[in-house]
Amino acid sequence: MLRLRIIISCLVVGLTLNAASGRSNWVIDPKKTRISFAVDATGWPKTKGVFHDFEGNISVDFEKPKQSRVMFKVRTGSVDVGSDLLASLIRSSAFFNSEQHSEAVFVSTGIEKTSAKTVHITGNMTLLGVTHSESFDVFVDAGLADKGRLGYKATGSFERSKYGMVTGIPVIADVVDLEITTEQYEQAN
Amino acid sequence: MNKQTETLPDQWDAPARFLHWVSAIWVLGLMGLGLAMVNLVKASGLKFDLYQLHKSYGFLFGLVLIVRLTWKFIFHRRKISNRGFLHQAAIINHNLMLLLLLTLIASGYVVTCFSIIPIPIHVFGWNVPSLLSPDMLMEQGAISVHHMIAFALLALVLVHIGAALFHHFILKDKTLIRMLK
Repeated sequence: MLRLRIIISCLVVGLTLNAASGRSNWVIDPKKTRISFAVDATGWPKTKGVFHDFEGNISVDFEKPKQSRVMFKVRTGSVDVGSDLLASLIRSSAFFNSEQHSEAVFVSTGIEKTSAKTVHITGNMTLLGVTHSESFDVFVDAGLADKGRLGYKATGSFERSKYGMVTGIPVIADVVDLEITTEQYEQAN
Repeated sequence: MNKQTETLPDQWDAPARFLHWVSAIWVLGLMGLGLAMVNLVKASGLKFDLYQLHKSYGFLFGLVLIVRLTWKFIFHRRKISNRGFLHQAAIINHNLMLLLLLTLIASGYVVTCFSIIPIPIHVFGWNVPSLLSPDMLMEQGAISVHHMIAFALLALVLVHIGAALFHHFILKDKTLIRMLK
């Protein structure tokens, strides 16, 4: 999901910088990527977590951004919330059910430029075997463009109940906030 | 008045002293843990770990309490002559503390049973089964009861400690020494 935003960012930069035309492959730098989420709960501090195991493919068409494609996979079992016990609960059938649904996947279906430095990306997110359309806003940091890299910050949220993840609602919020910060570089063909 | 008098020993027997001090440390530890996890810790992960620790050791203390009550009421019954108001107050305070300890453990268990988030009490690799259906309102009520009992117990513990010190430093008798030696 977050990766999608990253992809969108690439598009924005491409549009902003009038990058070379044609389709480009942008690779996520995992060392510079952080895929995080936050969930609120009544009488409990906001639970923040990250995923350590993920992958993404980005194909950006700067001339026709609508033809650009982004695909991200997150291994839900790699969730890290600062507590092994809490992570075990989140991986259990009460939430991610990582044993049966090991991956959450986002595949973009549309990308729209919203300003010189932002894009809006829409795509299909699959979680717990259920697919729904989600959208994210991406801010593109072109400060690293001279080094052939692009920085992104993608934010969005989704309602977990749509995917059948209803445990704890309403004590634990239905809405899950997502944030992805990343750097990407263009892969040589 | 009971004419059957029994002279109190110079010290309580070892199991009674051991169970008393284990209980004291355990209960005060659980109370400190409870206050810290609810009011002080802000990190979700650590907070969660402390809650699970509180639940596990709270349940285990329930087992210790059963052993202690068994020892007290089956093997350790004694009839001691009524020695006035302080004696009666001590008996009432002791029995109230035991009653509150039991209800504190029970209410803690009830909180986990009513929770709409399925997090069983984990004890030595065993998940304590829940005997109640999740109910958000009942959970909130049980939490309030659990907290009220805890603070009431804390007040009685302070009275208990104050009385022990009163016996030792003012009355200069063996009440405290009996539990120490």
